[in-house]
Amino acid sequence: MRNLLVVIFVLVVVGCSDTRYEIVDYSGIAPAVTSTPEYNEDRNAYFGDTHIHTKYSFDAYIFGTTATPDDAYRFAQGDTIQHPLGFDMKIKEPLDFYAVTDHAFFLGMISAWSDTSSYASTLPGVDVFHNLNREENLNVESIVDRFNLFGNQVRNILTDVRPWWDPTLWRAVLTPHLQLGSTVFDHDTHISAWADIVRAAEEANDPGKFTTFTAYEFTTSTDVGNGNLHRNVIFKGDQIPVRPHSRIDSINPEKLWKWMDGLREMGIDSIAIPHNSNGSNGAMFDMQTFNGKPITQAYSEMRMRNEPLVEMTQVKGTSDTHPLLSPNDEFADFGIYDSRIGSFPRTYSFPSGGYVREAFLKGMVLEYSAQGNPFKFGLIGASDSHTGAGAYSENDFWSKIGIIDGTPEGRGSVPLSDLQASQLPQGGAGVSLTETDQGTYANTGFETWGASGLAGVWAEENTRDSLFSAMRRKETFATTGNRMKVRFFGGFETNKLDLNDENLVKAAYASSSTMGGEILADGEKVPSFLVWAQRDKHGAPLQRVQIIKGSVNQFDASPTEVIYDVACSNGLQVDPTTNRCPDNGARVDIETCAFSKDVGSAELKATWTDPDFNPNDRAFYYVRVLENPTCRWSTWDALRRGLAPRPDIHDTIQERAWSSPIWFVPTGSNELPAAQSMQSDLAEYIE
Amino acid sequence: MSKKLTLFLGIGLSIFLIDLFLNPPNEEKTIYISNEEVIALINTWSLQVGREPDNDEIRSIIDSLVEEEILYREALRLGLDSEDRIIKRRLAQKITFLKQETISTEPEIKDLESFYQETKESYLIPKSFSFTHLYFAQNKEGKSRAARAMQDLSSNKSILSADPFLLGKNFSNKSLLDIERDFGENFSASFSDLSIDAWQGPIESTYGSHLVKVLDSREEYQPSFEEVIPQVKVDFLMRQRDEQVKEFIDELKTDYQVVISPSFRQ
Repeated sequence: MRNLLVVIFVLVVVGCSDTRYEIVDYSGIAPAVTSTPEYNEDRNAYFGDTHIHTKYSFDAYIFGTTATPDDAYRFAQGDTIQHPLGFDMKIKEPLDFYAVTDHAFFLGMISAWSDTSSYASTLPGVDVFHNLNREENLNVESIVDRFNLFGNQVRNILTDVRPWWDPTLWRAVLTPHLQLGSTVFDHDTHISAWADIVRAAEEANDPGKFTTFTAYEFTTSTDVGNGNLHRNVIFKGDQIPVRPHSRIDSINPEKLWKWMDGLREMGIDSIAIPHNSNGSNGAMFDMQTFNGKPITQAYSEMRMRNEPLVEMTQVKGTSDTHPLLSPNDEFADFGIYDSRIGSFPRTYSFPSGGYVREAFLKGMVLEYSAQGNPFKFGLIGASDSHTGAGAYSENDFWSKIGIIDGTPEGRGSVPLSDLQASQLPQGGAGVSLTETDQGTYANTGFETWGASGLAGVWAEENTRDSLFSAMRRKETFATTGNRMKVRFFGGFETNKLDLNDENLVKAAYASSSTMGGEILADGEKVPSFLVWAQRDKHGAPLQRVQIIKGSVNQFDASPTEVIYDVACSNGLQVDPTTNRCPDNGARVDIETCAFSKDVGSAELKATWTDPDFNPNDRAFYYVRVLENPTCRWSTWDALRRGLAPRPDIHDTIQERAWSSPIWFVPTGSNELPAAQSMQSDLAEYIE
Repeated sequence: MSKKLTLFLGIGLSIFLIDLFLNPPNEEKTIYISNEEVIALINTWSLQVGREPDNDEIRSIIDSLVEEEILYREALRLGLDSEDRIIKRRLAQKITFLKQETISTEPEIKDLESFYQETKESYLIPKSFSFTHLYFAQNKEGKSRAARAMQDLSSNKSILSADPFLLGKNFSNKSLLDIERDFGENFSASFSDLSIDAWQGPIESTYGSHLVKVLDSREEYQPSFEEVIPQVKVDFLMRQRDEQVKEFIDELKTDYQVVISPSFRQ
């Protein structure tokens, strides 16, 4: 018996290598790239979504999604695909790039458990998932069962570990590939689902027309308090590891970066894009590491090497800032979803540490104390749709989860019928009801979600190399689902640019830094900026363009945030005392959702010089473009039923876009300030 | 010997028949409740109520499950399922999906090729244009400036004041759809009528007025089968799936004779 165990042990060890570093070459599926005819050194704006789930994600499948990665890529190119509830989903205008990002942990397992002809469906305890998404089960009545599967069953069965004498458990520990230790995990199912995702991306990638990336979501959280630390890993090319690093391998994001660093040394580049910092309970942009250690220069460099971008707006809310963090920003109350992601029951997520504007400030404070800046990231938007299809339009919105938020009743924009109200799982699952004069609404949290967002990327051409490089250098902007375009340049000569020069863009690139870049101090010189925004032809005209500035004081690193309107619609002038544009008079008719078409601008363009500049303070500048107000999706939902909008939520919104920041770097700012070094000497002395 | 055996079998048979008459087999009347069923119900209950059920409550959960099962079986016994449209539709869907899920064979290349021949048009690459333009911004009296500039151009004078356009001046190989995306519908609609290598306009876009010179246009292009194999394969598999379900139904149909009530005529 003992000998047998030894033999098994040897076999297991010999057969072991870390499959996360085994690479599969997928080249040859997608057409080879030559330079495309649209190559433009002044860069084109490309719109896409880097955050899409399909049936391979455990939660998407539980909530009814059967769309495959192929379906997702077809949708992005303009084809119609089906929502789990049976209606058609079609995008208004095709996208330029798209990335399927299924949850890595238990990737592909639930759809396999459900398929009763598969081996995985015979694993112990998975029979509750059998035939989950056959057509007859795809209905609103199945919501209670689905909540139950999501809330209880999945958690219960995932934690069943194989017995110690099972060789697979040893392999799980030794390879290391901890998912193998679960009684309901099947390696073959897992890696074939991953291979199918890669294949679909390779087949759909069409240089010059439509770009795909192989990608997945690393769905981790803090071990206490469920602080969301999710990020999407995007691979640059067609050399892809056999399996993705998941939260089962480690819940610490630093381990993810270490793996990405390792792959990069092997020539495989990737970036990770965090999202829903708003629901992180302050953990996403914490002033210390995951393990509670101080942030070091090396940590900051590692984080920035791997995470140059953050997804700041999506269906589950916008993470620009929170009214509590920016009390002087009258546009801050937008897309606020301050619940911890995936919390049952819903739990408040503390704003500090969860919003990008504050993170930019915190990053500069950390840099001030010689810890490096781990939050010097650019901005994009994405949808996080779990149906394969992003819902970007207020007037054609299906939210993102599938069956449970696929109806206006489910997402809380129209009242429930008495029967529905009595059937909803209440209490523990986090669904409460709100009684109003207009009826009883579900409070699932979905009512505060948004028809957002998209990533805008300034790149020379629509190819993987060009888009990926642009994302690395942060030449990106985020929108709330509309396609307004924004250019942003800054430098000491930028205000000398001729706004009417036909070659303005070329001249701006030549003389200035662009979004994602830096301005290095030059004596007492004051930086100026060029902002240029163009409306979405399907959206409302533009109302104003703002520059949001944050700086930290040279003497004590105390942070300041100021918002300047820099261009107003209809030739209106900024009031120099308030830094705000006057009201342009644009209005929305809530009864028809018609909005003023003759007020607002098709484009806004201006140069601006910082009036409160101090060359010794660290600073960042980013642009916010605001459209005139339009109806929110919930108002459209109500309107279509002939009802008034739900009274306790916003009925209109201002669609918006944000550029990545440009940072100002004072002279000698990388050296430790004198006061700082004295402090650390003192600290050592006391210890 | 054989007499005894016959007698024995005869007695046995009559005992069996009497027993059958007095106690009909009651297998159908056994209701087995599995662990999984009970646990799933308890979980749902706790989710709704927010706590674990106590023993009495578990008993009543099980009781209602038992009652449901009994009523279901009695309904079946009375044949209540036979004329129910909803039940029919569900069962019909079930069998269709069973069929759909079983198809997953790799298609042969010659099948793909003949499929491509059939559906050629869907792979057509549309006509495209390369052009340059002069832009006159809406908010700077674009309309009248553009009209004046057009006059200047036709009389070979140089243009003084075009505006910069956010996306640039020169565009190559853009389909009408691409042009619509960058400039708006109005703009792309007028494109097909433009002649090559001459300034034309003004044409209105979402952003203002434009004078356009088309430098080159490429006719629509039919890619060969080899160029589009991956797309063909995806489309082929989708159609194959639909067809096999239809075939399956057609095949079953041959076993049936359909008679529509002759009195149904209006």
